[in-house]
Order: sequence, then structure tokens, then C-alpha cells
Amino acid sequence: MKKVIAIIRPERLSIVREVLKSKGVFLMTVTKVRGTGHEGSRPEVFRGQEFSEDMHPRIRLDIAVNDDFVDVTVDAIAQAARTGEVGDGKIFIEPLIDCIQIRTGERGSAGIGS
Amino acid sequence: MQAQVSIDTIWVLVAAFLVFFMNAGFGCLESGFCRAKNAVSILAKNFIVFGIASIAYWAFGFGLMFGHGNPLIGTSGWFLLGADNSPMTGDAYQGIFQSLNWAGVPLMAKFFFHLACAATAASIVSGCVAERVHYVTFIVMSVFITALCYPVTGHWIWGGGWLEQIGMRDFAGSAVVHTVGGWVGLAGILAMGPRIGRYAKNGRVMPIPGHSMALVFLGGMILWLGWFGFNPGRTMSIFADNGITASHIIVVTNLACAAALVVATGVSWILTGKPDFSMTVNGALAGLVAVTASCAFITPTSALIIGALAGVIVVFSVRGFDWMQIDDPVGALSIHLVCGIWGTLCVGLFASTDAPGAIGQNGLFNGGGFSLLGVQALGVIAVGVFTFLASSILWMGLKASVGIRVSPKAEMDGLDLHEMGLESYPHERAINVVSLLEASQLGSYEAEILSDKMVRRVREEVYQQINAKPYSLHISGIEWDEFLNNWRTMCRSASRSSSLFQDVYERFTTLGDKAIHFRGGDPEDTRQKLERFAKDIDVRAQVLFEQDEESVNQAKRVNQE
Repeated sequence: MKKVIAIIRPERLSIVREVLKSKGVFLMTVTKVRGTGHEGSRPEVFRGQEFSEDMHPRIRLDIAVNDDFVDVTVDAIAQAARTGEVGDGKIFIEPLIDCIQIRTGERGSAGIGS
Repeated sequence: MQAQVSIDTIWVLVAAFLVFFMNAGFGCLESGFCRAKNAVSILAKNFIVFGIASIAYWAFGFGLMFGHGNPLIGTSGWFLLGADNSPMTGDAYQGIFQSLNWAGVPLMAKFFFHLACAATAASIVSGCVAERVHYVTFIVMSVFITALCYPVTGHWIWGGGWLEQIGMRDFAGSAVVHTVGGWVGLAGILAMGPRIGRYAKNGRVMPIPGHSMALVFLGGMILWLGWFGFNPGRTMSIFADNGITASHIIVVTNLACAAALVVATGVSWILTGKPDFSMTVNGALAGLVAVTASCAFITPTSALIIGALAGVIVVFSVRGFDWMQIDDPVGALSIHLVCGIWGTLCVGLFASTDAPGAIGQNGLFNGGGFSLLGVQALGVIAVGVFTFLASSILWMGLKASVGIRVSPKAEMDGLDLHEMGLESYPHERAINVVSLLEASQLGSYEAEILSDKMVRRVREEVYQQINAKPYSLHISGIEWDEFLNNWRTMCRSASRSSSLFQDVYERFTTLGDKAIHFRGGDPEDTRQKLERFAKDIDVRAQVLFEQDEESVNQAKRVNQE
């Protein structure tokens, strides 16, 4: 079991989710996050004073997957979230020690469900 | 005489202050009904509109509306210049603003009150075109409304024009102010279309919830208060009849509002199973607009009926506009246009000679026959035809020249970031995950609208790619680090690089050990292109399929030799 954590552009959430769904990956947690990377800062103006905002809004996906789903999940996110511009985000893969579905009490692969 | 003028002037000015404050109400209400990412854009529109109106109406609008002229337009009084001996009234008045000679207050007081009303008409348009209009387009429209469009029909009804001469009556402006704003807004909506994601391809209406019901509450309350200046202020006097007419109007206005908001709540409660608060506020405004034309001419009982029916009308009107896919983010058309028309007709239906401001004519339901109703209907049509046509021409002209609608990307990211360069809630970033998730359910609709090349590519090709069998290409004959450096450089400007690299770039998923993993595209084609890319770096480079161990080994042997 692996946990795939993806940081993607907010506007790519819909297509990433759609593609994952088509490959049988339905379950995910979506969070609004902000972060900084290689992107420059965006100029903003408030009462005549310019300031720059370098913490950019991104979407974080947390997806627990069985090992045979890791590649397709990563490929789907990589291709669907890629725009070719700086700031497309990152994908992290972590080992997952266990997973328990609260409602049924199932553990391990069965707990990940689909 | 002096005391009367002073007291009446105070009255008119206080009423004008209340009407002025309605801009705050519109600003709160509209921004509350829209998404956080567009809040600054809406607030800015509602702020600048009074500045534009103040200048445009002073320079041209007031003269066009009330200046001495012909039955179609006023032709004097530009910049408030010209003969005028206000506060003299009736035959004692000598000047060019004859049409206001009944008001015993200084010219400046008359002007300021009517200026506040003119700005209100322009504010209405802001709500209709919210969340997608260019700021500069709205500014141009505000100049057009307050300098030209609103004063012309205003002259017909209030400035001694042809509609007033044939007996049309609109006490405080259901037709003059509210339907004019509504018609311009309708023309704008038709010219620019609905917001992205509002109507799904199968015709389903997708709710786009506002971001702050607290602002809607405050805006609704401010507007309600403002109407206690808007309607009775048009009496322009409070001294002569000991305030009887003004007090009557206030009670009548309040009754209509009360009936409308209660009924609108009830109707939406029955239809949706919930007492929709946003409809309660819309209902209150619908009642206020509906009673505006007739407030001085009707009895309190009639006001209750007018308001109650407005409460029904507004609920079904909101649904009707959505059914026609006319996207009105804040309900301004249902309130100001539809209930404005209803209110103007109500003069012909409910006018009573018993009311303190009576026009000496009864409406249909008080035994006055159809004549007054007919004149009112003619007025509604005349104002509608002129305003809709004139503003449509301008909207279309702007659409063909500077453009009226922001780019799809700006609309998705929010007008605040793209147009204003300032966000309303910087700490609570305007990206709304919930609405994005909703948008993802729209399927291909969203992508169809977005002309963004990359997004189109994603939708068409990602499916194809992700369903294709993965393959890997091994690179040899070249230092991997050297290749990687070039690869990184190319990725930095992938969307602007050569089509050769772009094809490779679009198909790859991740990098492996001296290999690149791919999905999609013709593998052999990809191999050739990647090889050409690699040979540009080092002519000895070779690219082979990784699965094919024999050829890999062969390549290694070649290299060793």
C-alpha cells in the first residue's frame, strides 16, 4: 500500500479527478493548501502600495492506493496536472503501514476499498 | 414662507442622503450574493458609479431630463446653468426647469435628490452583469445611463415629456428608475451570456452560491431604509400638509415591503421546502420596487396587495429567467425589471382618490376604468423599447470593440485578481474547492467553454494517453547528466519550445533510470522524436525501447566498441 500525495494547480482538480475516476481511483481527500516553489511572486496593489504574494494557492490530494494502482495514479496525475509552466506541483509517494475503514473495520488492502 | 422652504429643503436633503446610502446597500447585497473571488470588482463598481453619475448627471443628465425643451428631451440646463429662481413655485417660478416648478426647494436640493435616484438606476445594472463584466465596460455604461439613457425616459415621465402629458404617473420611479436599470441590465446579460458553469449542457441550472449572507442581510436592510427616502422624498415637501403625504408614503412603502417579503418567503418555502433567506431579501426589494410608482396614490390596503403579489412574482420570475438561461446573479431583473413593470401598472389598477397624494383619477379596481391602466402600459412599453434598444446598441458596439466580458481564465480565477489586482479576502484565498468540485461534475461543458489551448489538450489527450499501454525509452550513448540538464532547460519553457520536444513532453509521465516512461502516442514516433532531441545534444545518442533487452545490449556493445 502506498499513499500518493499530489500538490496540483486548483484549476486542474476537475480534470485530474475525472481521469483518476476513469482509472478506478475514486477515494481521495482534497485540501486547499498554499505553498511556494520556483514560481515568481505575483504583484498586487492595495491602497497605492504594491506588494507581492509568493504563497500560491494549490490543491492537495491525499490518495491511499494498493501497490498495483500506484503507477496509473501517478501517471494520471502527472499527465492531467501538467501545463508545462513553472508551478505545476509535485507528487509524493509514501509507504502506508496500514489503512482501516472506520465503518466496516476492514484493514489493509480491503480497508483502502475502491 | 422662509420656514417652509428651510424645512422642506432639510426634508429633501435627508431623503437624498438616504437614497445615496442605497449604493452601500446595493454594494453589500450584490457582493454577498456573488463569490468571494469577485467581491472587490462588485464593490468597486458600486462605489465608482456614484462618482460617474455625479459628474455625468450634473453635466448633461439633469438638463436632458428636467431642462426646458420638447416632449422628447430637455434641451437646456447643461451643467445646471440657466435662469432659475427656485424655491419659487407655480406661476411665480421663472426659469428653465419648469417641470420642477411644483417643488418649493432650492434648485441644488432638487438636483441632489434626482442625482441620487439616477445613480440608483446605474447600480442596478452592476448586479445583472456581475462576475463577468469588464470594469471599464461598466464605467462606460454608467456614463451612458446617467448622461443619456435614464434622463431621456425620465424626461418623458417626470420632465414634462409626452408620457406625462398623456397622463402617465410614476410617483417615485418604478418605471423611471427601476425598469430602466433592469432593461439596460437585460440587454447586457443577453449580450454577454451566462457565467461559466451556470447552465450545464443538459440545461440543468447549477447553483452558484453567494459568499456572504451577512452582507446580503446588511444590504437588504440598508436598501429598505433607503426606500424611506426614495419614495417620500419625491414629495419634495413636508411642511405644507404637516407631513401627511410623506408619512402616508412611508407606511404604504413599508407595508408593501412587509407583505412581499413574507409572501416570497412562504412561496419559496412551499416550493423548495426551506424558507430561503436569499428569497426573503429579494422579496422585500421586490415589494419596495413594486410600490414605488403608486405609493402616493394608493391606500395602505392596496399596498399590501401590491406587495404580496410582488412577493409571488419575484419567486417565479427568478425561476423563469433561469429557465430561459438568462443568468442574473443577484436577481436584479426579477426585482427591478419585472416588479418595476408590475408596480407601474399598479398605478392604473389601484390608484385611489382617497389617498393623500391622489392624482384625481381612480384605477381599475377603484372604478376608474381602463384608461389610466392603458396609459401606464403604454409608458412601460415606450420606456422598455427605447431603453432596451439604445442600450443593446451600445452593449453590442462595446462587444465588437473593446469587449464586454473578461476572459474565461479571468472568470475562473476571479475578476479581483485579474481586473482589480486586489482581493477582498487575501487570507482566505478565493479558490473555492467546493465550487471546483461542482465544476468537475459539469463534464465536458467547462472544457468546451475554456478556450485555453492547454486545457483542451488535457481533456482530449489525457484520456487517450492514460488508457494507452505504458512504454519506456532507454537513452544511451550520452551522459545521462548532460541529457538531464538539457531536459530541465527545455521543461522550463515547454509550452514555448519546438513542436518536436512538445510531442515528447506531452506523452511522458515520469523519468526513470536513464530512461523516460511514456503513455500515449505512437511509440515508434516518440522514439524517433526523442532520438532526434537527444542527437541534438550529442550525435552519438541512441534511444531504444527498454523492454527490448536484446537491442539494449546491442546498443551497449556498440557503445563499448
